[in-house]
Amino acid sequence: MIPLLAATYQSALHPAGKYAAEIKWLLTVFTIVASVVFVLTFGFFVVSLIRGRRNRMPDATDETARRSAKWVGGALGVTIVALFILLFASVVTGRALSHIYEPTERHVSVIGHQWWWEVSYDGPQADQIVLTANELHLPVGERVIVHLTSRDVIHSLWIPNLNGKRDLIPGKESTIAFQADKPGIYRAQCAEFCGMQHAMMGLVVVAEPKEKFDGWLAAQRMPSRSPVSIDEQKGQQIFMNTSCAMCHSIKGTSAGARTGPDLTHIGSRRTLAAGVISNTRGNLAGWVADAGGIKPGVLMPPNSLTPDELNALVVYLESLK
Amino acid sequence: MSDIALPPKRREIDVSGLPSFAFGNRDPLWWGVWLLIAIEGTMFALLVASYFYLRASESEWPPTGAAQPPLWITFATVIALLATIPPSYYAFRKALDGRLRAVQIGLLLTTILNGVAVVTRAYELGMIGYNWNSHAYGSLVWGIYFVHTLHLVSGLCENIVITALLFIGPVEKKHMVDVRLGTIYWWFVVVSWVILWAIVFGDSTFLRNSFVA
Amino acid sequence: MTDELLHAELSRTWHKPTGLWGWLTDNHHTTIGLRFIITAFFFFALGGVEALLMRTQLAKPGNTFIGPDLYNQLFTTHGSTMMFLFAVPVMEGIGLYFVPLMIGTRQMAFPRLNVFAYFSYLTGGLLLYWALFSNFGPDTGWFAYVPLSGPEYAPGKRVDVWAQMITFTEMSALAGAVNMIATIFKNRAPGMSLNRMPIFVWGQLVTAFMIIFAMPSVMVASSMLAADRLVATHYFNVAEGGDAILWQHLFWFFGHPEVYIIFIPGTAMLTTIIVTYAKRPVFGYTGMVLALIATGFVGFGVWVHHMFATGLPQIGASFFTASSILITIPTAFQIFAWITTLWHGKISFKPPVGYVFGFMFIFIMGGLTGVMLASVPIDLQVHDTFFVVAHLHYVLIGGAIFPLLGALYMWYPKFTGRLQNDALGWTSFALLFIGFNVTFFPMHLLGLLGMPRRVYTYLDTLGWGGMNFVATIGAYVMGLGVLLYVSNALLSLASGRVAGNNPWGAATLEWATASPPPPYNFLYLPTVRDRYPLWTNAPDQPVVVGVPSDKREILVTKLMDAEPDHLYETPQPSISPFLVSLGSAIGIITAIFTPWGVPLGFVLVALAMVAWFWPKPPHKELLEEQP
Repeated sequence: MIPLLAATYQSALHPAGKYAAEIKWLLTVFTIVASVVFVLTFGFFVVSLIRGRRNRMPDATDETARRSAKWVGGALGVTIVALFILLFASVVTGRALSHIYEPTERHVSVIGHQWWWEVSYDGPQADQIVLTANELHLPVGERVIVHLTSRDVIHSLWIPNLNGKRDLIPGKESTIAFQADKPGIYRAQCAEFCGMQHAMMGLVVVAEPKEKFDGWLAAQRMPSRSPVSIDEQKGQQIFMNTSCAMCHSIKGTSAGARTGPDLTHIGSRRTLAAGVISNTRGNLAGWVADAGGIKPGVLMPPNSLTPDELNALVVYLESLK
Repeated sequence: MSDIALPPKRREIDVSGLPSFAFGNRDPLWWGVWLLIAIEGTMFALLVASYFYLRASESEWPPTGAAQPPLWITFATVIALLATIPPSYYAFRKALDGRLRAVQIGLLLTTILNGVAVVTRAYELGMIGYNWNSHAYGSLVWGIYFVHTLHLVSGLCENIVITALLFIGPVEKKHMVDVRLGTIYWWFVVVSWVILWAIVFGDSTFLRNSFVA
Repeated sequence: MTDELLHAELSRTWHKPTGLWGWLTDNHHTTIGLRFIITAFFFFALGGVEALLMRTQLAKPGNTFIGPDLYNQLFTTHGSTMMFLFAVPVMEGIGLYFVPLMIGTRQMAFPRLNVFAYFSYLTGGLLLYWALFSNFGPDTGWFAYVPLSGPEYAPGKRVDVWAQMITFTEMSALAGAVNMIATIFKNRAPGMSLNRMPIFVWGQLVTAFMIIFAMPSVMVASSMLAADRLVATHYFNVAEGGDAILWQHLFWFFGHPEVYIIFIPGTAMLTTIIVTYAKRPVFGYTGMVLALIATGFVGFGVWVHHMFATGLPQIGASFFTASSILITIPTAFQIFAWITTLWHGKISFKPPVGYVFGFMFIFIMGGLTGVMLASVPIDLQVHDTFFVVAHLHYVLIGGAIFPLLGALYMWYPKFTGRLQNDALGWTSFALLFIGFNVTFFPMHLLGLLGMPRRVYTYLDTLGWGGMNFVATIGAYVMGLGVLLYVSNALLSLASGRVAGNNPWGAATLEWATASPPPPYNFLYLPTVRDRYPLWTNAPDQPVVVGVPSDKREILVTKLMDAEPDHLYETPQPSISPFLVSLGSAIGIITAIFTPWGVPLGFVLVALAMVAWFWPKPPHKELLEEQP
């Protein structure tokens, strides 16, 4: 069944923050002016076809040319005025939007990878830096500056409900700011072609009231939960002794590699595979066993675990709330 | 012949007395050569623009340890190239009057000096103290050298062929047009190097590490 | 000499060689022009099939018809084909065919350079498709952004194929541009001063100048990329002082003028159609010419609007917003002038007028979304989304392909001597027009609703399925329209009504000779006294006599006023331009695998060039002094 109406949580037409709202206002102005220009110009064109069909003789006298020149000059004048209005509106909005870069307390870093987003929040101490992936949490009503860079190729962070996009360029740091005014869950997607799985590089954006956000941040600052049940303990051993630990980190354990996403609180995340599948036990098992089956070309290799081992590993990962 | 639309009785403009070649901008090939120069000049300009674009974001320029070839060898090439201008201008002038002997002498000297410039260029390349894969600066300088050396060698081929033609014969009047066009192109090769050389070595000699990021 | 004898001798002198040897050596501008057009349409068909495959994949969410690897090759090849192998060469081909006819001469200024241009282009196209069909087609987009296309993230030879395809097609375009400028400047009929040239010729002239200054940029960029990949230079390598954004500047400094290189010939064709079917001179000739020239200049000052999302200083961004908005003014003038011309014309409703309607509807809309994209804040929302896919197809298909299809319909009798079936002509236009809008209009909305470009699939929860499905249906309707258009052209070859010299009563010189034109174009070179010679020439308008008919001589005239200046012998058919193309092809294709391809190609080309230019008997006027 094909849904006929698009969802509203990844849409520039459904702003949830003031920057996106200002852009939508500008877009509306442009659309109205453009529609008027279109109707007028195309209308004149259609009339010219009708008249040109009725004319008995082509008329190219100097007198006609002089009269026409006035019309064309007038139309050109109107066009130029309309263009300057649009230019003015654009510059005004551009200036309003430039305030988003004024200093603020709240900073987040986003690093682009093929094909996932590494998100980190500063902490008061080094061991309190929050490292997570594919999920960006924002406190509602607060301006947040996001620092962007890339570990490999150029990506582009685009949260249409909140603001326009900004490229993540290797070797450079750029910034963009967001302010979510409506709590909710939004979705972002990489907008600069970045290779095989460009299409499946999503990011979940959670805008929540400040208390909830602070609670989430505090929870994420904690080291990982220690395994309790037998399965969880077995799962942790499998994680540490197979190839998992070569790429992933889990704070509070010996796994500290930064090639793949940090998994300290993977159980608390909403999605897997960069906003592609929901974080359920089945999906997690499928992803761990053969990530390339879900996202062909993904850099995470398939695993050859027995069903029991896979089960234990998934139970352990799910426990990392 | 019914499909020829023009009416049968008409006035006529007789052009049978017109010459079969012309010098300067009357000649289509003159435009061809200048447009070629425009294309390649644009290419050189873009290389230079890339040079300054990359320079603007570096904190050291040239990078430390990037040893330039000694200035005297780069001077040698520049002087050899500039020395071609009098004889090639002599050929350029004399071609107008169809003075074959004079044109032969002018072009022969130009070709010999062009050959000298190719030799000094070879030494120059051998004395660059870094490689194209050492750093972006190396890539740029080698890129500029590469493109210009290609011109220098094609210029040599062209000069040899034209000169040989003038010595072997038979020489048509129209070849004097070709001599002049060949000379114009050769001057482009000379002038473009003087500019590129001044930029690359002027920068590394006088402006080392100034105006950097 | 009687007309019959003259015809016989000119036919002998300008005889078109046949067979394979003839195919490799013939240098008639009509032969090469037509060959460019047909080859370009062949690639257009391939690019169209790629588009249909992509639309099929996107028809529903999560579709598995085509995987990401193939999809990425398809959209890269589609874009590269449509830009480099179709749009530019087809406009060039039409120029090669019609400019000499329109300016009343028998040949281009450099006929053999034309042959070289064609074979370069053909080799580049075949190279790209050989790679695609062998599953190593380029897959980093027609823009090939580094570092994605660099040695680290694109191992293998896919991107090298792309870079060398660029080398081939740019050499071809540059050779064509030089030839076009020299021809227009020097070969015009006596009396055709610059301000009496048909607008179409002006369009080709401005385009050729844009090619001269834009194409070197992409050649520099693609050579740097090839060097980074092949000999480990660091032009784009951040770690060693290179810069990924340098690529984007070089690419778009070419890439945006490229749009106008396609669009300016399109508008010039539109003027030609309107003048022909409204049967009156275009309103504001001087303004039209100035509009083309202004577009050509400003076209070089807007490239950064492709790069707003990289983060630019605000002052710089505002400059490019302003220039991108201002470039609409000359085009607006052209639109108003066309409307005025039609208003006071006597229109005969033939299918090309349908394409004028299509242009107005589609292009005006595309131009207006272009104004939106010039605004930085709006651009930052819709950049790299389906909104831009919609915009660029509205501009390029509306602004160039619709005029092209209309103009080819108009000129079809000149190519073939026959008329097409108007009913089929109108039907194919209707299918294209409806199919186009059904395909691309929903994409504006899809982009605003968050759908990025260059995605091989999308999640069903995002709700883009419905509009994508509609777009796919539209794409098939368009495909049907193209099939019908081509069928009409093919069927009419045999069964169309015989057209005569000037079936539309048009004004320019290409209609003054037989359809198709004889190999020597004009029995007597014509002269003109104003812009619309077939409407206003005197009954006893002079013709040129005395151009030798036993050699391929053409008349060279002066740059400004086109007074007769000298006679110029153009070359006989010769194999050397093909050999130069072959030598450069061997060198360039070898350079995909080893840097030694460069010296190899250099030596081969140098040898072939000497063979090309070494004078062959019979020798003309000899110098008094001889060695």
